Amino acid sequence: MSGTINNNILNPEKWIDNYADFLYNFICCRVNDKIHAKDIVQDIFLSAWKGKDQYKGEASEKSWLVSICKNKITDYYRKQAKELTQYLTEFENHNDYFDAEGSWDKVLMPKAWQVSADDSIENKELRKVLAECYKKLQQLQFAVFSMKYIDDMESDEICKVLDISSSNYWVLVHRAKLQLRACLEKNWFYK
Amino acid sequence: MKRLMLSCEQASFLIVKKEEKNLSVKERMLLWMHLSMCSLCKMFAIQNKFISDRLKHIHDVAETQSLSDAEKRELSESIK
Repeated sequence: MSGTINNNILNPEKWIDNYADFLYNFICCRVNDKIHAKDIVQDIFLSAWKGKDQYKGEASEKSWLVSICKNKITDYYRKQAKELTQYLTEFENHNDYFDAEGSWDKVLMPKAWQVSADDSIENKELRKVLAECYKKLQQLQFAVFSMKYIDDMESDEICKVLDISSSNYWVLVHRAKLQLRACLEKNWFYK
Repeated sequence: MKRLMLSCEQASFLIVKKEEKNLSVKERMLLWMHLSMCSLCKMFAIQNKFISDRLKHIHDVAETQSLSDAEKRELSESIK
């Protein structure tokens, strides 16, 4: 058999109407910065426009755009990962959670949580508070967590994508968990 | 003796790591020793799990984002 029949064709003049919101949403869960998210959408359409002759019609127009989108997000993550040393120094300099011996800080140490039956996984109010705390994470931590929790990636894979060592990965995650815990405690359990 | 003991900072680090990775025998032993006498880290372990369980669903509550018409117009201008 020669040649495959593909019914997939591109409609560039419809891209913005059909996919701009979808892609913007896809990016907003993964990139904690609306201005950058918008830039990425623009970047996707530009790349897609330039590459439209390479489109073989094997995938649908939508999945083709999504694959471009994923690459753009990865590029953005890698740029964040280049700032890793800055993050680590920042953590070092603002280690408010522990004292010099590594014991819990008297103020930020865990306090007992009165977990009621209402604080179930389904509790929307609690999740909203947690989501607000989540948005306060730094870009690179947000990147790691979105790969981990939205895209279900394993830590080894995430390290490979970001080109960071596993020990630095754990430093990022550990710090993020400390931040989330303290934030949730302050804004939910001890409000 | 002191060198055999983890600090709370190290213990909480291992608690977080343990969610995804198997700890070495030594790490497990050190963590177990620490947790057997540190109620704060025991609390941290429970609360960390509480958060992890909810993080898996964090995006269910995310509001849908959309671009305004003006932003879309701007977008279509920029890629022309």
